[in-house]
Amino acid sequence: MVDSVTDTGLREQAFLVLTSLAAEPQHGYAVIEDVERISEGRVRLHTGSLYAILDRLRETGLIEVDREEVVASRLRRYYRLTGLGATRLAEETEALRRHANAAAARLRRLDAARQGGAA
Amino acid sequence: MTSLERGYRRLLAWYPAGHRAMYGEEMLGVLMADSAPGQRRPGTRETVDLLVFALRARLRAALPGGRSPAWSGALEAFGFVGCALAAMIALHGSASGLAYHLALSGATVRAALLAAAWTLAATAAGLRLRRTAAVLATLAALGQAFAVAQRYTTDPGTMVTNWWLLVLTVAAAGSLVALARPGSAPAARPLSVTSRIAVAVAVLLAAAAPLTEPVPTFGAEVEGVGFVVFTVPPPHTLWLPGVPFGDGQLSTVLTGLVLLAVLAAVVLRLTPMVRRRAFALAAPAAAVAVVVAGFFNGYLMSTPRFDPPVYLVAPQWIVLVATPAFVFAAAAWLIGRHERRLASGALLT
Repeated sequence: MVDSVTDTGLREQAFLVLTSLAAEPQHGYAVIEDVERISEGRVRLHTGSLYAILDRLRETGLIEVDREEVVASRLRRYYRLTGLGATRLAEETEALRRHANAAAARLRRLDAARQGGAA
Repeated sequence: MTSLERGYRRLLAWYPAGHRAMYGEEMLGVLMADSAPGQRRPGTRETVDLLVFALRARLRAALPGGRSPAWSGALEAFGFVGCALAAMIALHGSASGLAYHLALSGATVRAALLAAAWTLAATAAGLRLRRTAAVLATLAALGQAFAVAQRYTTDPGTMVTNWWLLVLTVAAAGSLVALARPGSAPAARPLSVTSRIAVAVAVLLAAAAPLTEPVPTFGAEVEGVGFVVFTVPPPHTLWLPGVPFGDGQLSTVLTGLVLLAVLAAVVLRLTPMVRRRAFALAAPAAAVAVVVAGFFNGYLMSTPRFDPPVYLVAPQWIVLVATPAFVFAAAAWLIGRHERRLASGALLT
């Protein structure tokens, strides 16, 4: 499942949605645009995927409805991060940072070994 | 309304009603905002995305995951009681074998292992150790399936008469696995500690009943052999005419009645929403027992008369496999319909 929240960690798309909502409460279309911006154009959520993620995040208590507005006769619902969502995002960010640091350290060693071998 | 909006509305109609009520208008707004200027029809990728996630939402709504607390409660209650009953049946068999062994010969190791597996699974379920219970119940159900399947080549009739037990144990293990899935809703402890202890005590009493029964023996003149003493293994049943059973049979009947009374009391203490779902989980095994008793009687009577025995044909297999699935789907659908009617009635009053 691309969008689920599991015990082992947030999937990338759910992580990006939480990151988007960490800035401020946002409505669905703003989340799509923000996720594209955060991922530097790599991830463009479709509406079906987005609402599957929002539904799951809301169900697990990581986000909640902030407010609703009607703009040009259309319902616009804003979502915000809950306290639990902020904690989960912080934990996930820390885990990703540790993994990235470990990967970077190993790549540096690999690079050094290659350069040593070439010399 | 533009043709684009109509197209999106048609696609959104594939979502279940609950999802549409919650997100439908909001999703339509996002779809319209995300459309290109002058666009007249939904794009291919958007269409596929909506259809895929609509199907997934429908599957999630239809299957009893741990999404709703009522289903979680039913899964927990049925998982525990189902494992406890499977343990009781397996322990009863082992106790019968043990009593028989004391008199004549052999309690099997396999029966004892199965009894131990179900007892451990029921204990973990009773202690609400979700993952441990799920793993143990799955192992026990696999053992049960192996034991049932192994009989098929030599004694397919016994496999058919035990099919309900296989369905019950698979449903119990499946309930605990569904409950242990990540993201399942916490159940509000459907069974109190007292209820769980009462079920455990009643199950142990019923399981141990054969140990209290005397092992009856009787003699008969066998032609060409002489006078032979026969020993009847417990549990003793009424079908052997003329065999003196003494008090043993009474203990089995009494402990069985106690177990039934305890189960009835426990079921009555469940909330109506949890109780309905627990019945839906138990319905497949009950339906299989009814179908086997009603439609497989001729087969069960005839197959032991042949060597090799008569094996099941494809339509019979289909009935055995499809009945539990169909009954569960029908029960889950009826519950949904009943509760929607209750909810709409409450809104109108």
